[in-house]
Order: sequence, then C-alpha cells, then structure tokens
Amino acid sequence: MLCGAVAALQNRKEEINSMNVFPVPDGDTGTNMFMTLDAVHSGRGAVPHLGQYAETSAREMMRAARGNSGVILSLFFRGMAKAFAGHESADAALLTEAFRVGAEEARKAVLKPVEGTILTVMRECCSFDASDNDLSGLLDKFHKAAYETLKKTPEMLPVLKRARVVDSGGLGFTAVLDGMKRGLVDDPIAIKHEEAEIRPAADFHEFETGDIKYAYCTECLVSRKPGVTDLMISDLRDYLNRIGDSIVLTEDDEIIKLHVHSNEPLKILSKLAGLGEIQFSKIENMRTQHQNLTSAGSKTESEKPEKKYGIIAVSSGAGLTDVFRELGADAIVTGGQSMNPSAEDFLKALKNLSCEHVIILPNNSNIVLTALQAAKLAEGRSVEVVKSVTIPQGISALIAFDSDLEVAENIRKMTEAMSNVTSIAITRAVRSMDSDKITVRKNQIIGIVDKDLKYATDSLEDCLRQLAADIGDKEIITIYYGKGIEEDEAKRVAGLLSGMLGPGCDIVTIPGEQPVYMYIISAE
Amino acid sequence: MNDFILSCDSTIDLTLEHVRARGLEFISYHFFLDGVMYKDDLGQTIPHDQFYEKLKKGADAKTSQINIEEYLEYFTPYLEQGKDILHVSLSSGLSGSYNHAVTAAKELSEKYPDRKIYIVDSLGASSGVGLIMDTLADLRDEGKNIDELYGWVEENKLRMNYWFFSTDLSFYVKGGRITKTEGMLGGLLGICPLMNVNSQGKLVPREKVRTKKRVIRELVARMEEYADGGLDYSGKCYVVHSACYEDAREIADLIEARFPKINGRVLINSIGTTIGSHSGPGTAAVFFWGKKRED
Repeated sequence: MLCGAVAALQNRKEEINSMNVFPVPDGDTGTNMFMTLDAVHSGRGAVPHLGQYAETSAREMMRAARGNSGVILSLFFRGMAKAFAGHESADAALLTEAFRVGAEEARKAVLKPVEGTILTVMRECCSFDASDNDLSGLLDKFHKAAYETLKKTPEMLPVLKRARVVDSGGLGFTAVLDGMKRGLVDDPIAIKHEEAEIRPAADFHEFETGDIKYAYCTECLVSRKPGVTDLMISDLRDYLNRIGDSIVLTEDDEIIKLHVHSNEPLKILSKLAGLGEIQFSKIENMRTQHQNLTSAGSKTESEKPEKKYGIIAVSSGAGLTDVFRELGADAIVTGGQSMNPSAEDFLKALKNLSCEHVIILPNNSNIVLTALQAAKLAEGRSVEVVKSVTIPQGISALIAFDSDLEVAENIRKMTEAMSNVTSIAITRAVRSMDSDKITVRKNQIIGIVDKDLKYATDSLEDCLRQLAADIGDKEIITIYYGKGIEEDEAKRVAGLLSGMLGPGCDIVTIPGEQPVYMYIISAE
Repeated sequence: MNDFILSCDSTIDLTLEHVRARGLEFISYHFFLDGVMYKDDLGQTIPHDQFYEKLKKGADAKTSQINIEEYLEYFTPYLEQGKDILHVSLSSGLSGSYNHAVTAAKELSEKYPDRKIYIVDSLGASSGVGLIMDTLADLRDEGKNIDELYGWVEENKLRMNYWFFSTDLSFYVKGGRITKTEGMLGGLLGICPLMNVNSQGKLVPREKVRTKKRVIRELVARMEEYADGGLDYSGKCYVVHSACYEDAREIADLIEARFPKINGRVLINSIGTTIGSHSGPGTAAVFFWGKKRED
C-alpha cells in the first residue's frame, strides 16, 4: 500500500511541484513529499504486524521529512500509526479512524491551519462513514472525496485561484491515496493525468499586488498572561477584524497564536504584548514577496503589479536599454540625441505603469522639458523628473535610487549622484562649424564633455589624450560603445585610456549600441 | 564539567577545530549537490573549495531545513546525560529550522521536565553567529550559568553586525533569501550590492556600489560607523568569504590597519556549504559587535 503511494508520488512530483504556490511558491512540494515517503525502507512487501510496521515507518518518515508538506504528511502517518498501535491488521473502521487521527495530528502540528490546503483534503477525505466497505472500496471512496475536496481548494484559498491551480500538497496527498488504493489491490501505477482539466503550472504573475489590500502578514505566538480573560480575547478579535483580514486566532490557557494580514503590524504586536510575553513574531511584506516572484519572469508592462515606484528612462540602443533595465527601469521611452520623444510618448509609458510614484530620467538636455511637460499632464499621478541630461548621469542616478526611500530623499540622492559623474560623448562631426571657443571641420572627431563641445581632433587617439588629461583622478571609467563599433576596437580604446589614466582607474567596456555617438563615456 | 552545553548549527561557519577548541556542540544541516544529499559537517565531507568549484561549474545546490526529528535525536543524548541546552539557531528570517527546534524543545521539555532547553533565534548567520558562540564560550569560561548566558545572548544578539557584499547575486536570487533584487543585479556595470542582516534576521541590500574595490572600502566604512567605539573597536572581528580568499584578506588587512585596538588578528573563515548554497561564490562578509540593529 505504502509502496503504491511512493510510486504515485514519484510519477507526479514534477506536476505537484509546478503547482506549488502556497505558502511559499518555491515549487518543491512534490519532491519534498516524495522524499518523505521514499524514506520508508523497512518491511516493504509483507507486513507482519501492522501496528509495529506503522510505527517504524512513521518514524522513518518523521526523520526524512522535508519541507512543510513533507512534515505534514509524516505527521499524518504518525497519527495513523497511533491509531494502529497494538493492532495486527486493520478493518475498514480502524482505517477510517486512523485517517481521522492522522488528519487531526497533522492539523494540530500546524501553527496556522489554512483551509484549502492539504489539511483540508486530509480532513474531508474521511469525514463520512464508509466503514461498511472493504478496504479497497474504502480507500477508493477516500480518494474520490479527496479529489472532490482538492477541486474546491481554489475556492477556499484565493492565492490558488489566482494562480489557477489546486493546492499542491493536497494534490500530493490525493496522489498518495490513489497509490495506496492501487498498492492494496496490486494495480501498479501507470503515468497518467486524470486531473488533466486542472491547469498544469502556476503563473505567479496572476497575483496583482495592487489587489493586496493589506501589505503585511503578521504571525505571532504569545504565552498568555494569567488574568487574560476571554473577553479580552474577543476584544482583540474585534480589533483585528476592523484592521485586517485572513485572521486565524487560536488560544488556550497558555498560548495565543495569531496570523493576520493588515497594514498595522506594529500596533497588533503591541496589543499582543499586553496579553503576555511574545514568544515568536514575524512580519512579512506580501507585496515585496510577490514582486520577488514576478521579477523572475518576463512580462508586458501593462500587467506589472502595483508597487511604490515606477521608473521611466529615455534610451536608445539595445545595450544601453539593457543597462537601464538591469538597474530597475520599468519602462523605456525610445529617444535621444536628434530623436526626441513627445510628451505623449511619456504619457503612454506612464499609463502602463501602475505604481504610486513615477520617476522620469530624460537623459538628454533636449528631452528634460518634454518630460516635465508630461509630468504636468499626468493628472492625478505623482511624477518626478530627475533632470539627467546625459546617459551617464541617468545611469548614475538610477544606481543611487533605492525603492525603500521616500520620494524626496530619492530625488536628492539621485541628483547628488549625477553631480559626481562626468559625461563624455565622442563622435565624428557631420559638418564644419565655428564658435567662439572651437573650430570644427567636417569629419573631425569631436568630444563633448557634459554639455560643452570641447575637443575637435583629427584622430581618436588625440581626442582620448586630451580627454585623459582633463578628467584627472577618476576611479571608474565606463565606455559604452555605439552601433557599428566592433568590440575589438572598443577594447583597444579602453586599453589606450587605461594607459593614459594609470592603474588606479577601473575601466569597464559595455556595448551600448547607441546611434549617433561612437562612444559615450562616464567618468566618476 | 559543565552541566549544560552551548549548541549551534553548522551554519556558524567556524572550523571544526575552532568549534571543538571552544567546547561547542553543533547539529548539521543537509544540502543537496546535483540531487545528492550531503551533511554540512564544516567541510569534512566536501572541502569548501571543491564545493565552490562545483557551483562555478553549474552544479545545483539546495539546502534543507533541520526537521523536528533531527533535533529530537540531536538534543536527547545531552538531556539523557543530565545536561541542559542553550541552542542558538540560524536566523528564522532565513530558515524554518528555528521553529522546528522550538517544537522539538517543547516536546522534550515534557519528557525531561527537570532539564532546561533554551532555543535562541540568532537573527543572524554565518561566522557572525560563530562570533556570538565564541563570546558565549568566553562567558561560560568566566563561570556564568546557563540562565545568565541565555539572558545575555537574548539581550545582545542584535548587537552583532553583519555586513557583506557579493560580486554575483544570482545565487541569492535563486535561493530567495534576499528582501529585494530589483535594480540590484547590475552585472553589466559590475555592481556589488552592499548588504546587511536586518533586525528581523533577513538579508537586505543597502547600497549599490560599483566595483569590488569600492565596495570593500564601503564595508570597512560601515564597520567604522557601527562598531562599538568606532575606530577604537576592541572586540573580535571575523571575516568570511566564499571562494574569494583574496578579498577576505584585503578586508582583514584594511581592518587591522584601521582598527588598531582590535582583539587579536581578524579571523578569516570560509563560508560553509549551507550558507554557500545560497550565496554562491564571490561573497565576503565582516562581523563585529556594535550598535544594535534596529531596522
């Protein structure tokens, strides 16, 4: 019987893994449950004494238990073993009893039983009287009941519904029952998917953090002070109902256990501290937990979840865009020198960002005003423009950005970071030009430092030499080489600059693939 | 002989010799390397350099928490010998093991009502907890009893400061033990995020720093800011690394030069296989006593 269960789990662990979204979407439920059961080595085959066998195998499972689902499963079997104790064999009535004890034992051990999980499936599958059946008929009924309960789990646990999956632990347990049944009647498991109508894998992006009304999941275990009355507990319950949801409050003479979702975890803790000593507490931000998950996959912008900040950066060139993306830019408006985007372009990007505050990095002096215009037009939105006038400034500002800080502090840090970077752009002059300061002939190499056209030279080497003399003691030089420049050539340029600046300076070369400028260089 | 044991787990990232010399007991985590389970026994089974070589070559490393049964088996013999237990566990912000230890201790308290079993959530990790254990051993040797030590460690554990950086966040991201990753990767630009362990025992990226050279400087600057007495810090300081001894050496040298009153040499350890499964290679950290972690 147990062997059948092991085989069933082995076959289906990947399927179960793929549905693992609760409580932690780490996709390992099937593996954990399989490993827990697979640890049972003693007496596979003939079972001389049921009570002893159950006791030994339950201990083996307890020892091997991995993960929440594995622990729960092992406790289920330990409960069964308790019921079997002293019995050489089982009839339907005893097996039913064993299932009930198993389900209770498993539930007792979970600090915070949640419906719609393996615990529900365990309880419901044996919650009716079927003891007039033979053993295989009984297990068949249990399996069917488990399956019916499993199908309802998405209705009980919203997180499952959003991911369009059933509970993975419950599915694992259903597979265990199926395996037990087949083990009993000696009908080996074949790989098949009878619950094929259930979507195979969770899509973590289905959870919109925007509709997480309460951000913090708080769990707390308090040792109850003498003199804490039931009335005080019911006051607490009323208070929690006012400020949160998903409340699981259990208490007895000694302890008070709480799980709640709210926006005021600290107030809750201080209330609890009044009722006794806090033994354990945990506060988790469910929004950030979720964002960590979604950031693993690729998404279109319109589906992005609500968060505190959204960043729009202006960029052109696939490489530069990659850099901005990697640093956390949520939207890219294509544009730059001689291709300035419109306010409308910004507004479109804005519309797709659902977040509290938007920060725009225009990254070009000709785009700052448009960005400011867009910020004005974006009614009802909090939009700030960090007035970066070059790509290196935009990148430095974005590195300084910290999503944990408040808006004003972020703007201050980003602006400060921009002032520490010198931006250089190098390209070839498309026409001749005279100004007070400099004379440029067509096709000469020109170098622009911050906003000023500073160098006009016949060779790139000459330009670099002047540049190296001017930038002085900088620590990090980043060279973004443009479209049409070969990597080898960029490396050569990096080598030249390195020789001119000396060993104290780190030089990083990145394919920016930007148009217009052969090289964009940041020195900081 | 003491009538109690000072116990920790294999994530304290001290050498076996150190643990033995200080009379500490420990329980092992287990980790999986390409699906094969190994015991984290402070580098005895798989030397750390081999472990990181495998990770660099793409081996898949996973850890598993210590379950209740393992704690029961580990604690019981000491209780049978009539010894009380003070066990300091890896941060509950990083692992569920702490909860399992508490459950096991509760069960055992019923079975051995005369024994004391204290389980402490270190809210920390690696040699930082190692330094806590080392300090506990000092206090034990001064004659403090288990109740005093328990009180002391609960009072002081948040004074252990954990600052670290990584040149490659990919393992942290995969392991999911980091509070935010957005914008922290910056691999193209060579960003090394400077991180610490917060008061809830979680890993928090604090600042994005470009280049290793600068992040090492920042790390030492944080020590100056947070250590007891600043540049006059006179406690011990531990540094760890995952397959980047050179970085650890550089940090230790900087610290020894900067903090002349420091207690002894800065001790350099290798990050073990459990923490290493989540950090991957390229992490260096510094641990010292200082201001209480508050955020």
